Amino acid sequence: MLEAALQGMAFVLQPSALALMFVGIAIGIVFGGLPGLSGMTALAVLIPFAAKMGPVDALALLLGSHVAVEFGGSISAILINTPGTGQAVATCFDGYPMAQKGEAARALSISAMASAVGGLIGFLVLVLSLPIMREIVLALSAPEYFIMAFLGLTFIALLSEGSIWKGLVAGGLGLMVAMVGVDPVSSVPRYTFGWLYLFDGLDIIPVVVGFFAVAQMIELAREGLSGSVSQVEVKPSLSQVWQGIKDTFIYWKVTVATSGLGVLIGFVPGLGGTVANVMAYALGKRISDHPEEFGHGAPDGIIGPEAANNSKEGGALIPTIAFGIPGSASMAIFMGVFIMMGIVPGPEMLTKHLDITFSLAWIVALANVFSTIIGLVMAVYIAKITFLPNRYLIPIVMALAVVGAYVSADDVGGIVTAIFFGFVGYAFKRFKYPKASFIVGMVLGNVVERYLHLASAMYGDLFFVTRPISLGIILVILAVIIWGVLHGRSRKAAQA
Amino acid sequence: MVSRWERLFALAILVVTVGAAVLALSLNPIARRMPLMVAAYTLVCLAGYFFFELRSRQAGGGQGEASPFAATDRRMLGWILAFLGLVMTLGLIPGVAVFTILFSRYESRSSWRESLVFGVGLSLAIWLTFSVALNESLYAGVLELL
Repeated sequence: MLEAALQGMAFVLQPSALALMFVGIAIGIVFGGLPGLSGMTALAVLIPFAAKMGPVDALALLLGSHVAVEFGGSISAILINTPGTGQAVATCFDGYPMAQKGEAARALSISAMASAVGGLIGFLVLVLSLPIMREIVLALSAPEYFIMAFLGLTFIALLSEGSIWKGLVAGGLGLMVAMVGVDPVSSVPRYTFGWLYLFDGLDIIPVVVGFFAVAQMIELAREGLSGSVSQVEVKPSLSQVWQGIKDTFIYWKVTVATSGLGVLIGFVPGLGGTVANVMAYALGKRISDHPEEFGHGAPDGIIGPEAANNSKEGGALIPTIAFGIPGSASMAIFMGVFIMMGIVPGPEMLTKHLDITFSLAWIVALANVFSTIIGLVMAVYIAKITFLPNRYLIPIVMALAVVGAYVSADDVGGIVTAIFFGFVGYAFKRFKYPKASFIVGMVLGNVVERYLHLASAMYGDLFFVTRPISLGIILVILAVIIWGVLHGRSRKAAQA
Repeated sequence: MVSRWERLFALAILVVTVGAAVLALSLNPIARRMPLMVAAYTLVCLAGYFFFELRSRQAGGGQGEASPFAATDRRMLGWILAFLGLVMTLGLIPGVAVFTILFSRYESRSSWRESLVFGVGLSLAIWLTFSVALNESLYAGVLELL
């Protein structure tokens, strides 16, 4: 294992991987900071580029951006009281009041430092959990993996906003979309309608580009094209930056506790960054020595949400790597990237590709450190870029999305797919169907099918009732659905 | 309250799912196994949605119901379709240029000068990045094929 860890680090320290990580971090900070754009939009724009790279370079670019988005989101939360991403909602509560008191540089510094510490704690938990996960993973077999995919979909549906049924339906649609293309066992084309582009199946990249970038542009236009916002003035102040760094360690109890909470939330499929952010704020307030200052610019009011935001990434990678169950849309995209590169998440990640898994962990750690350094040095200047009006953003993102969709598939079908799924993504948003469930379903589709055929060959067609663990997981799925329905009913009754 | 549009969307999903199941029936037993399983799963979930959500919530809508699609949304959908048409006919780089110029001029109400500079600048940046630096061959459009 130590050898794999060192090998993983050697991969990440390659100049190309480091350079791409920096590019990813820069893009992530800007996308995170632009209210209306999200980390998913950043991933959607970057993924066509990543598809042409080796696994470690691709992951350096994508994970670098994904980690940095969290800090980027806090810039607009602190300066204009508008979270750049949903994961920065609670950062507004104390970040903005602190900025209004003339301490914007300190608030940004706290955010950067807490993000780094949280991210490193997440990394530690991820690395330490790998040997334990390895034992668990090796004890499971194809039937369990098959059923666990549905468990993941059920959890995501339960915990996403709105109705559990919509979440489950969205997951089913995602699975259905994954069925397009030639059947892997009998090589018969399915749902291709004679279109050659569909024979290899629907590529995840144009779908993600459409779902998250194109659809998001319609939302952005809704917000208005001028996009002019009044922001708090930030004066570069070294003493404030230093104070921010110190704050993260002065309030160490909050830093450590909320980082732990973030890891836990990341581990549970479906609980996203917004939940981590808000729950960490509540926990921070509860254990703080001066809860009465929360809401008025308390340093630990910024530390909690920011530390949890970044630590959750380490937690979220555990089920993705070990069981092949992505807990969120972004993790599903990472899983899609693995699959594109011939690496199937699950047991192989902890045996055959352990070096890649460690590379992933190192990237999380380094990206956190680098984005903090960039954040501390450049936050004041980055803040200016984040106020680009929507009238410029929309054509830029649309152009990148369409070109990216074409380049990834090397076929005009990629463009048509991106636009089609842009409309589908828009409809999902309007009618409150969780996009994450759809993407997770789509990514899991082919893996699930593989496990279905394997499990049937090994244990017969009734494998899900003859294997005790599988049966247990099915019972958990049913319990989760029943709980979700009853909880939804009681919530509606309370609202009425 | 459940809007007419929301019910229509759920109905569209039902039609797609049933269609997928029917199409899968024409496949061989191995190829249709997973699609049928997925269709059955989705239908069960849809049934749950119809039974527990749509049935229990007050049905709304009717002739006078407002569309959930704002005027801006409808315009943007039109712009995106126009973008697709431009890219398919003119190719990626000219399509991006024309779309950006027209969008900036008529949707963002920028001046002709600003729109032209932005449109040409953006397409130039994309051409330099993808065609020159990354050596990607970009789609040239139907016109070139003709």
